[in-house]
Amino acid sequence: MNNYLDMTILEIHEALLNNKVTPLELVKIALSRAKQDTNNAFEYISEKEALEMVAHLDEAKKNNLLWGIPFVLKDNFSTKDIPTTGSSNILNGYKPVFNSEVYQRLIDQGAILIGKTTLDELGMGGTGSSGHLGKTFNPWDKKHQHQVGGSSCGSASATCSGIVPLGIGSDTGDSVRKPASNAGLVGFKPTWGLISRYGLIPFAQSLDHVAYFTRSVKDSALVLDILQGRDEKDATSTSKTLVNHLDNITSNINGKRIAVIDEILESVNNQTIKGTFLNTLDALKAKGAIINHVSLDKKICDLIYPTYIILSGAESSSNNANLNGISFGSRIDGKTYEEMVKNTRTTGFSEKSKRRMTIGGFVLRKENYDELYVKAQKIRHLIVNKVNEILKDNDIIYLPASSDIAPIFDDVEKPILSNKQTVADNHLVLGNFAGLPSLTLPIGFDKGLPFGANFMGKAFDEITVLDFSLALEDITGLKNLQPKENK
Amino acid sequence: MKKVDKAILKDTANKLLFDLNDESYDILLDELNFIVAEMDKASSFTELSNISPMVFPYEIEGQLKEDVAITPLSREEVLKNASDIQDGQIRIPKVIK
Amino acid sequence: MNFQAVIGLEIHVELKTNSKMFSSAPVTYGEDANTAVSLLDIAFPGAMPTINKQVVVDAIKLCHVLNMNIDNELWFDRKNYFYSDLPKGFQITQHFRPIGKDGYMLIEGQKIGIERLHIEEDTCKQVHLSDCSLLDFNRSGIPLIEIVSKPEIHSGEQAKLFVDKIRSLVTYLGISDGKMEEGSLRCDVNISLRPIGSDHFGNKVEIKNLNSISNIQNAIDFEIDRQNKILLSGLNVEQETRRFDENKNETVLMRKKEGASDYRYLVEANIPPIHLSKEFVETAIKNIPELPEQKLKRYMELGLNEYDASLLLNNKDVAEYFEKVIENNAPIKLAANWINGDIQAVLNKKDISILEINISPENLAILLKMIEQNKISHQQGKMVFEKMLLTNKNPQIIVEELGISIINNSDTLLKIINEVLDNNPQSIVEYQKGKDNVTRYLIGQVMKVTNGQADPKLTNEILLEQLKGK
Repeated sequence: MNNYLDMTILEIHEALLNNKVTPLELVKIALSRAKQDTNNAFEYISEKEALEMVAHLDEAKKNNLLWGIPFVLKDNFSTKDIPTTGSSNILNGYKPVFNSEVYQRLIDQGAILIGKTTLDELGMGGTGSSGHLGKTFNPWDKKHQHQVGGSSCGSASATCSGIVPLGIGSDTGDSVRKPASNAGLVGFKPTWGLISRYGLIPFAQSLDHVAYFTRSVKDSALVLDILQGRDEKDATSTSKTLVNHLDNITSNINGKRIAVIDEILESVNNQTIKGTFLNTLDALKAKGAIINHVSLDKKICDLIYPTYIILSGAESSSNNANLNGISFGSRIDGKTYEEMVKNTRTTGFSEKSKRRMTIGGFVLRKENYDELYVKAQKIRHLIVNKVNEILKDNDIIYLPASSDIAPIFDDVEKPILSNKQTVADNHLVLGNFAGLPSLTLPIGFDKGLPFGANFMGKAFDEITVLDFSLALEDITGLKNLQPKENK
Repeated sequence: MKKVDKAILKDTANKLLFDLNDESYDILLDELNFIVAEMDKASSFTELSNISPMVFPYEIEGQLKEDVAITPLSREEVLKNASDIQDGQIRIPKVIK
Repeated sequence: MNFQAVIGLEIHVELKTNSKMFSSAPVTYGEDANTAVSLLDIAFPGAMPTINKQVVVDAIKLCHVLNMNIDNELWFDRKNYFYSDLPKGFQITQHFRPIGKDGYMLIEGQKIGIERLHIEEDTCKQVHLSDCSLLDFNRSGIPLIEIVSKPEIHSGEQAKLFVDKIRSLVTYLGISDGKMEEGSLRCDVNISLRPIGSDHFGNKVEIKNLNSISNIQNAIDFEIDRQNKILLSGLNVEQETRRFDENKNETVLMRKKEGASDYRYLVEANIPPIHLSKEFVETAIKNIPELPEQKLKRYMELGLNEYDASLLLNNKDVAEYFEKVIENNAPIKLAANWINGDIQAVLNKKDISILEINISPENLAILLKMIEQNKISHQQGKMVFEKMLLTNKNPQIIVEELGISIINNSDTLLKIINEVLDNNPQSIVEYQKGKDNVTRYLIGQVMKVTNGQADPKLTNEILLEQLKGK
């Protein structure tokens, strides 16, 4: 019975319907695995709340695909009466008085929250090490040397190690899709505006997306069907007519056009990744897809990451201005209002987060505004136009998700930008710039660690992204991956 | 090219009401010098002169909400997370304008 | 050297909508602290803004009456700064694209330009105690409209008239209480002096904390004088922020200006731009109610003189009261006289608004009709009015209860008048010498004898007849 949690959501749902397992049994296993977790995935294990919820599950909702399914939530989603810290000391002790829309929709379905997971502080980072609980580890690496990546490190880790089949995260640069590659998971970031951000602690509102980890493409489709759609409380959420993805997903990609951006592919360092990627490309071609090699000016490619750091830094400097210890969170006293807030913020934020916000404050200074901030906004526009042009002639953009397998933790503080990074390390942010649906799924292993590839489609064309992903999953057979020791 | 120095970074941080340690300012200086240099390269893009700054990832239109008040938070909810409360209000050190 | 004052005004109008600008909490005034607060008003992480339609409608109306260009798209921005009354660490406002641009108002026939009109939100209320400050978030997020004039005002009086006209417009539009005393209308003044004929502006002084319309004029008058003296003594006016001390009737230094503030403006990406269709704008404009200028014209067409009409229009509630009275067929001139006279006296004495007076417009109309139709005399009318103030009873019932009637039988009156004349032979002599005003005394005597019940018109007629016959 122990291995039900190692299955996909659809398989667990089947087992629940056939009474082979009960929600209570599932929750108990999930909680026990969470408590034994050695990867530092959890901010808070919601044992009491989960047992309470499972006791009140409505049998009439049994047909809901997420009914009785345990899941975890990145700790930047607000949960009523449950601590929500964003993995930041400045929010220690904060218990929201409301639920984020995503959490509400999940529990309305009968899904059971097992815990809140670690992140890079307030979503600002990609290493899974800047949160106030320190490093979160990659379950594929028992030696705890390799990152699982961030910022949604805890949800990636918990989904990977079989604690839950669904981990909710958020993705501002690549915070779900990069860890998905590192952890052998399906990581999906649908179009900006398709899933409500209400109750998500913002990092950079024009780039923030709700995103999530599953262990199969179909699971990813079914979760989208539950989370998608208009929420009056989020003015940016879409009013478009919705597609049911699970019902409509097919692996038929015959005649569909794939664009591969050569400059990005070429910058992939790891030859195993490159080789595997090219093999999948052949396989997709064999399934009837048309491959187009396209170009994105190298100079533009080099600007992707600095532009991202400028824009996200600027927005974060504003978004985090409410973290002052006055109405919520951890206050450090001072003699005056200003001194108190300064004490609170100086000690409450990590040095890394403060650096990113300072970059934001710097580019917004009057004397830098046009030359740095507005220029970055224009570069974003230019890049988005180029990407959309590519997608005008193609159904999808397909690339390796990362230039290498999960990197090793760096123990010295280093600049977040440098010449050493390649565009393939950061290209997923294109999906955030343009708000496009983007999905990472595993395609292979190197040195015992998984790596993934990424599909990026047109805005609100999630179904094409899922179709390609399903086709690729069929090709690789890499589905429901978990490090052996859990099996 | 724009000159970045530590004093201006400290001033920027302080205006955001926090301070960083010395090592952080050194790293920050490297980071910003890199950013400024990269952005400087973009000056050669003629395409930038006739493109608007982007705010939203794609063209999007908002909606107005009817002017209907809903039940606000209870006072208990408003104050629940505050560490210092007096007479139903949140207490802070005396503000001198 | 002679100097000209160059004055610009920044006026904040607090709107009286049902809900707040970017949240759904109710707009309240004087409620218990922290009982009208939603997630966004206290800036809980993850709360998001929505846009109040009514505020947009109100802003369009005000833009229209201020002759402004109305933008066809609505955009919002964040003004980032740290202050204890600003929970989010930024205020949502319209920095880059205000809804209204480039308008004007006529002040005594002169065009005063208006730079911009934009929508924003109020801050939370702070109570400063001896050892701490307390925060009440009820006010946080209440809709504000800011109106920025061009620096085309040149005197305290003109500034006062400008603000008073804004006050009048927003109250007649029904979008704000427009009370400076309660903070629903606020005004900051920017003022500098320049040598007449010069286009070189002097240093700007900002005056804050003005809490009444008359103080605007007082503060500016003082400030012009102060700056004038400084300049004449050959010194420079410092760029600074001052406040008005009502008791001393002078402006006092608050703080020196240290460079321009840097608000790190950002377009608010949580609010997608909203297209304002031509139809939407036109509908808002169509629903603009009758405004004071139009009302003045109409009242004068009804037969009032400009003075009486303007007096009624000084206060929107008074004008509405007047209109209800005449809707009930009260004689127009009499209604204006009574409202501007007797009613206003009561309001002043009791320090209440006309909404609080104990006489309904319907009952006042009945009273005035009775006076006009000579069913009771003017004096009796005043008596009935006093009773009405206590009870708001129908004046007809009061008349019955008091047993008031009017003597309008000619024979009865003739008998009384002759008695009066018999008792006042001296008056007859004076009348014959041409002293007309003696008739007023004689009528008074008749009224005395009849307890004020004699029909004044008829009494006058008969009296004159009798005097002429003597």
